[in-house]
Amino acid sequence: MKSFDTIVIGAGHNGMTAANLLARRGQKVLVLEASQVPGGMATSSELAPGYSIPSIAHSLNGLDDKTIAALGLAGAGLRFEPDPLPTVCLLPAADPLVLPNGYAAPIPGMAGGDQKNWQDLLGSLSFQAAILKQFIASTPPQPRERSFQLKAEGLKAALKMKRAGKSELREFLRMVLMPAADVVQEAEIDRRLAGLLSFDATLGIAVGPRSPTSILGLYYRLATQTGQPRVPVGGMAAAMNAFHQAGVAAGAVFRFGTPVRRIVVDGGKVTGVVTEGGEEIGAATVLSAISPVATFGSLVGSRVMDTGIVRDVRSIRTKGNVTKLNLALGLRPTFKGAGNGATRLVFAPSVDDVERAFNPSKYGELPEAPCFEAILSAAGDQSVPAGAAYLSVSVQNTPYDLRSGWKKGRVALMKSVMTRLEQFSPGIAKAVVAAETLAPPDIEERYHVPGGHWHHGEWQVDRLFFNRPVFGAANYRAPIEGLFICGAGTHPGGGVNGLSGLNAAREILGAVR
Amino acid sequence: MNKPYDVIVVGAGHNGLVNACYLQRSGLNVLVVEKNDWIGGAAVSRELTPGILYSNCSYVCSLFRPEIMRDLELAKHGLQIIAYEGGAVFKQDGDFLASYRNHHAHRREFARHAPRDGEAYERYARDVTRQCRFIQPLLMRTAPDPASLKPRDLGEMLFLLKKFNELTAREMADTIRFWTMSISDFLDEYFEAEVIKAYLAISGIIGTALGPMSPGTAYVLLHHYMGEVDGNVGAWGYARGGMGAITRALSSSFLASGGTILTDAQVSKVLVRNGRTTGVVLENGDEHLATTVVSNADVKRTFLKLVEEPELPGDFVRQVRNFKMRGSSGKVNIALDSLPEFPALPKGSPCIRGDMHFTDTVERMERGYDDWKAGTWSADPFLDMMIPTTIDPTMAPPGQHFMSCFVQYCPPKIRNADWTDADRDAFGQTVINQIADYSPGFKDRIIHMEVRTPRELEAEVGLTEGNIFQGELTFDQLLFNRPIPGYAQYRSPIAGLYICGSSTHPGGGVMGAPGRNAAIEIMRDLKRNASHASPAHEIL
Repeated sequence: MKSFDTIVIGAGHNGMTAANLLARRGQKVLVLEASQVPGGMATSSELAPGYSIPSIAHSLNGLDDKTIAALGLAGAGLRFEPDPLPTVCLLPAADPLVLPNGYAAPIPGMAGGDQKNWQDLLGSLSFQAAILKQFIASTPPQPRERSFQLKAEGLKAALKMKRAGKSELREFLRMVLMPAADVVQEAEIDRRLAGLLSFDATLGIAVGPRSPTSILGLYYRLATQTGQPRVPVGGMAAAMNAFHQAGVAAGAVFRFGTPVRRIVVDGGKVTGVVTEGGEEIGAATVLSAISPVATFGSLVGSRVMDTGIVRDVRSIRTKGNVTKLNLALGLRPTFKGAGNGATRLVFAPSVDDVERAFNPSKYGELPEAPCFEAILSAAGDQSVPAGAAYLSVSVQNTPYDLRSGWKKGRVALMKSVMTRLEQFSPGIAKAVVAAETLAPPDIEERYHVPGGHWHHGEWQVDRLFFNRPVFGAANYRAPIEGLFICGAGTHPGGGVNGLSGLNAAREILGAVR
Repeated sequence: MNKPYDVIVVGAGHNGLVNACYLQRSGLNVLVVEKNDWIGGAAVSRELTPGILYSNCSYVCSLFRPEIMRDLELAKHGLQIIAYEGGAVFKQDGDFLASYRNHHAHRREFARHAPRDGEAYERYARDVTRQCRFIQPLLMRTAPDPASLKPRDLGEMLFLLKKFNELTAREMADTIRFWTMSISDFLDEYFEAEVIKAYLAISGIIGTALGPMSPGTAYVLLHHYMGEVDGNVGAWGYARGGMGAITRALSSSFLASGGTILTDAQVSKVLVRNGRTTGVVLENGDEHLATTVVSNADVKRTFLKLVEEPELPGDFVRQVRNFKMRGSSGKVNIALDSLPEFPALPKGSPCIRGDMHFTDTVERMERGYDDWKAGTWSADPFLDMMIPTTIDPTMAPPGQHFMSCFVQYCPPKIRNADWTDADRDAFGQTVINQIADYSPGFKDRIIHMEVRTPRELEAEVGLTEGNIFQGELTFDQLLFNRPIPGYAQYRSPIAGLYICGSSTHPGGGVMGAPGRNAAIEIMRDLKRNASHASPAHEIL
């Protein structure tokens, strides 16, 4: 039987991040991936001959320079397009609102008062997000824990607030769990920006902008965002290949097309894994980078775990609510406000529109007017044929348990989004060469994520920090010796940022030492 | 010119009266001014049709603090709370879910609907009781200002941390979850039967402009569970003689200790000179002087209507404007010539003597909330309906009954326009129709009916937007955030002006704690002995 120091299950970006770091520290690392390519939900796939389109995730906003350097990603070929990714807010019966560079720059053509309110709000949100940021790049503090690191982080956060003054601290403690809708209303920002922020706060989470705590989604976005929004050269597949190559260069061994059947536990300790092919591979440490529900539910099994943790894992809310529509287009469509570069289009005209789209999703129904964001590829993008383009659309509020069934739902959703797009880019429907609809059940099947949730489980306050994925496994350690977990289902959550992989690798190194 | 008082309390609601009682008993000379020609605010019994008393605003009692009842000798002044037995949720399929005070009977009924839910109920009851135990001592204390380094705030902060530190790591993690979850998600972790979830979700939404699927509603449930009747934590009861019995006992206690109440005395302005309050002026022009003024009115009414804007810091006014008071409920009060029948209930069932509901799924509740968000009352509203006269014979002649229906959701405006009488009548009909669906011949039993929308609640009781809690119970408006961060200790930017209503910590419900806590702060400022206010007792 072959043996490794650590076996990583899943070559998603977090698994590859952890493997890379562990191999760099001299561990013998094996990465087992069920599919034939690296990247999990963050790669691209060929939708039609010559069209490589982001399968699920379509931007790399969260990956910061420190991580890129630590993993040697630049040396492995990761490059970013030089131009920032503009956001174009599509508005019915009005000109679009264009944000040239994420939230950062002043918005062209906006009146002084609105501009000021917008900058003021961003100022306080960024300050508040920075406080939370102290806690995302490391293992979350556990209740009753009195470690040096926690004290250091707590002190840093406290000092930051202290320096900012009493009113900032009070404002933080008041706003931190507010509904996004109330925050934007109090700040009296432009109605169109209010719609955009409501959408950005709630995308991928089963809340509406009027739900308390929905502002947290915006904090997370701000805390993990790295300056300007970034697009990798060559698309998501190129970025994931860089992760893979960097891992190989660091010394990790990758095996694709090798799904794991179970994690072997003997006497309360992990001893290795058994693959679907029946091969047993030994390791004293196993890091599962797939969904925690799949890890505990299928790979470990409830027989070797306490009832309490089994019940907790069952209570993780895993049902996804984002559907991905991928469109291969024969020619690049024109959208008013969009230039030649890659562009983010958002349809979320107002807070009420975002909230109204949320309502039916609570009952397993599709919204009448769905809100969505779409990435339009740059003119001259190499991942599509010359002159062609792709549109990668994430549609919010499309529940896993669709009552009328996804068979009809896929058709209906595609139709309603195409009708909307046609409003802003007449003729776009005729340019469609190929299209696919990845509803949550499709994501579940294709990526082996129970529920098909982006974040492997709801990203809401009750499942954050020491409660993510569940209490007792939130420091990346499963309650079984030698078993570790990382991935979107663990702290700090989803997004292509590699943070949980980094944090988990540090925990493993700490435990081994 | 009237003779000066030490303290003037604006508004004879239950918190204003509690506050006045404590202050009068510390030797201060207190005047209570009330705009209506009756006292009680939202805790009243009114004879709206001959012989029948209506608890026409608040209608049940549990939260009123027993410490206050003892301190102010309210039993001696005639207050008696009677716990009620039972309740029911009527299902659309003709069955019903009964609730009983007896834990074992209750558990058996849960198990009848889903075998595993009986067992889950034990876990649920244990977990929720633990949360009650954690929060109850906080009710009777002033919340610390986390941005302050004053010894007292640090001390209170330390108390909070100590309280938190008594929990195990697991309990801490659960507490954080509980405080931030939606009641629907919380119940999903325990129960299977829809009707059981719908029944238990009720306490998560009453009085709140949120649906059961909104995060934060599990805390609202706690707010309704942390009361007690006769030492039974979580129990609810009727005040004998209607809810007005509470404020009647309070006023009797107040008058007995030498206080003065002036009714039909609407305050038009709180007088302020050089940043200090000097008293109040009434609508009729009368001035009453005092160096301390306590407002029982909600925070918006107090600072946006009763105080001239230039007297307040601009930032403070902005924050008061941003305080969320969202009317979400209405009330339909009905006098009946006979006891209605509910064929779903077995003959002689005690359930008719408790709280009855017709919403048998969480989804129906949530859809009711969607209607509210769209600016209209729920087409299929949630009702918290009771007939107190089945237990309390003092409220109606023999055979006749008073029925109270609390209705959610009901917006403060209809699609941004003011309520009209026609709207109100249509709203009332929606409610009556729902009851009649489950009670044949119900409409023929009605002698008299009063329909109250947020418009009526605001006009009569003075609750802005008709919000029964004087402000939403969301995290941004709880503890040190209630009502305004930095002003959560019952004081205001104006020296000598205090607030003591449900807009302040710990919030709404006929609890009395805000009035008592404010009194303690005032006695501290005026260097009075506060030993007659007992501290919170422990739940065992």
